[in-house]
Amino acid sequence: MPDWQRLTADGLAQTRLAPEVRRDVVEEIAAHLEECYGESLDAGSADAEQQARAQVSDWRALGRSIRRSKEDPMNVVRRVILPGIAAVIVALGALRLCVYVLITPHACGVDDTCILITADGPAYLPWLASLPFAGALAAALSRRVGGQLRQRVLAAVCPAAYFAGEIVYYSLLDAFYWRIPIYWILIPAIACAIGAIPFLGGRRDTVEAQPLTATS
Amino acid sequence: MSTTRGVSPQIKRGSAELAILAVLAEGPLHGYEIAKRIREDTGGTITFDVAALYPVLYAMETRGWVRAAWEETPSGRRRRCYRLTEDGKRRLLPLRREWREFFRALNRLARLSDA
Repeated sequence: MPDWQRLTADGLAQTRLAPEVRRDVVEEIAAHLEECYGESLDAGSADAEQQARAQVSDWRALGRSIRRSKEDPMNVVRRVILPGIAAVIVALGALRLCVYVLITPHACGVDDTCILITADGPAYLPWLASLPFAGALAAALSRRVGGQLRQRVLAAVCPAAYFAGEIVYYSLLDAFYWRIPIYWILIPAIACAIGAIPFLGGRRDTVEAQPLTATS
Repeated sequence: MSTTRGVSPQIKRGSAELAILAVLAEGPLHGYEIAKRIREDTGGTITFDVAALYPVLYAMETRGWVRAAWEETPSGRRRRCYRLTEDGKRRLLPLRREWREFFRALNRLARLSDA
């Protein structure tokens, strides 16, 4: 009789699953294949092994499907959205601080003062310099809860996404805002991503395929 | 699911959750038994292979519709047994209604009962 545990473990070797999940999945699917094989044998089939093997035509596709179905939908919230919100708060706080310290309000109207925040103004570059810290914070938080590489980068560039949303909103009111995405989206996104770089390697919630010792 | 008679794979995929929930509503079963029960109860029209069954089962487990636990069979083998949860039972009711309405509508449209 074929070693169904070994066959299943080999078939799912490239699938990233936590070790205890992998053990359960391999044992369960191997048992299923074994029962298919036994049933075909009992029915007098001459190619029982082939019939059982035909249960899975593409192991890699099965592995991907299993990984997706085991994924907790809340992981996106924990790994992307919450770290991203933290980065946005830091980026907005830094912008507010830079504006407060570096920009002098000027008179506009009779009894009013205005603050003009522009990419060539005194607050922009110091603020830009703070963004890698926001990106680093998001990537570190995402990594802490098992975020994958893509999720860490997404979390890190959330401040740029926030400004993109704001620009789209204001551009609906004033066409002027269409001119500034480079300074307020692209460059900030790069700055945030630079901050995330030290946190893109290392720990993950899942582990790469590990050899499984057949127990049968 | 794979096809043995002329029902399109798309319809079968869409009905996978209903099929699994319906057989589990009758009692706990392990994966192989679920596939076997569905095949037998549908006269072989609907069949689940490993590649179709387990991703659906695991997704349902993640959503909390079914609960799985390892159990030992009388022959001493370990099998992962699935049970319907309260959430799963609640999910089954609207699913049954939706599919019933779908087939009624399709029947009106294509006069399936005359075919």
